[in-house]
Amino acid sequence: MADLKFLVVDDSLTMRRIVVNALKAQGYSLVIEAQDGKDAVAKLLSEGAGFVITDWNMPEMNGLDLTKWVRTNEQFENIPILMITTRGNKDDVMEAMKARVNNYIVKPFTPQGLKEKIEQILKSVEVKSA
Amino acid sequence: MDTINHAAGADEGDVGMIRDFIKHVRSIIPMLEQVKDSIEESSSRIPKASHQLSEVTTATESATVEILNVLETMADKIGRGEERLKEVRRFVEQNNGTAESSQVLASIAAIEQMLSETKDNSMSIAIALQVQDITSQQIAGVAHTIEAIRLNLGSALKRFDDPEHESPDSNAGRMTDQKTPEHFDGNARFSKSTDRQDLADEIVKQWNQDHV
Repeated sequence: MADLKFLVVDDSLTMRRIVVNALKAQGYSLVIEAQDGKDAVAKLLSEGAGFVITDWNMPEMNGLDLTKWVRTNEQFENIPILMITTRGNKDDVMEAMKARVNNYIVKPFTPQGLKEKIEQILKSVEVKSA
Repeated sequence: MDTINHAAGADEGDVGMIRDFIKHVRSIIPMLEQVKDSIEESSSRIPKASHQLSEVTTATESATVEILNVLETMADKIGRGEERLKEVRRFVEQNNGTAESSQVLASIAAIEQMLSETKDNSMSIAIALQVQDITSQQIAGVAHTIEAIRLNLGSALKRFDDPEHESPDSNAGRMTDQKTPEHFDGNARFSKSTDRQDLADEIVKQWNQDHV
């Protein structure tokens, strides 16, 4: 799984750096970044990715709209999406699940929490495709 | 006046009351002017306050990135140190048999342990820096609130001069460097409590069970 390519989407440079470092510490060295949903769409189309980690609140295109775009795009509809956001209300999580994110992390995250969620998602994707 | 009094059927008591009322209103007008001046002055300070808040966010982000740079350099050096130590361990293990070798191996193990802990500590510092993103969203929320106050004050000031003036829509006259509510979570908070994550996990679990 070390060759899995991650796309980290967040308008905060700090958060992108922290998530990228956490991924690299877990052995995932292929990581690209985008600063909002619109940038993420452009990166997906030009560079592709096998796993998206996205924030919710962002300018241009937010993480929820990015998720909806991915899920309605034939080329990318099955890409795992993990949302990492400060929004932790029940309604927020429900809305994200309805948009079909694979899992949900409330900031601040821990490296262990991130690892567990990635593993859970990859396992469930494997089960579905088996 | 007498004609008006007569026509309106007002007696001297009524006239006195009306005169007192007009006097009172006249005395209020300068106070209202003062209130207006005070609102104008306060309102004019808001853009500067918003800009200063924005600068706080920029400064903390810049400082946080510098800290992350140092942490990455540290992590890199620790990684290289661990590699070197592995070489030393291999060498000692291959030349095992001397009285000192077990002592050296014990020392290597202790150093490996320290390096591993230092690596974990540097990761903990990096993770704690998420506070910068969270506080910047809180600051954006405050900036948005004071901008809304500025717009309302501006509208109130216009109504001083023109009572028919209508309230502007929420975005009219908004400062261009302001983030809109879609760009941040004004309720963001930095908490080590796992309550919100536990709630999210429960919802995700339930969702997955219902949508197998």
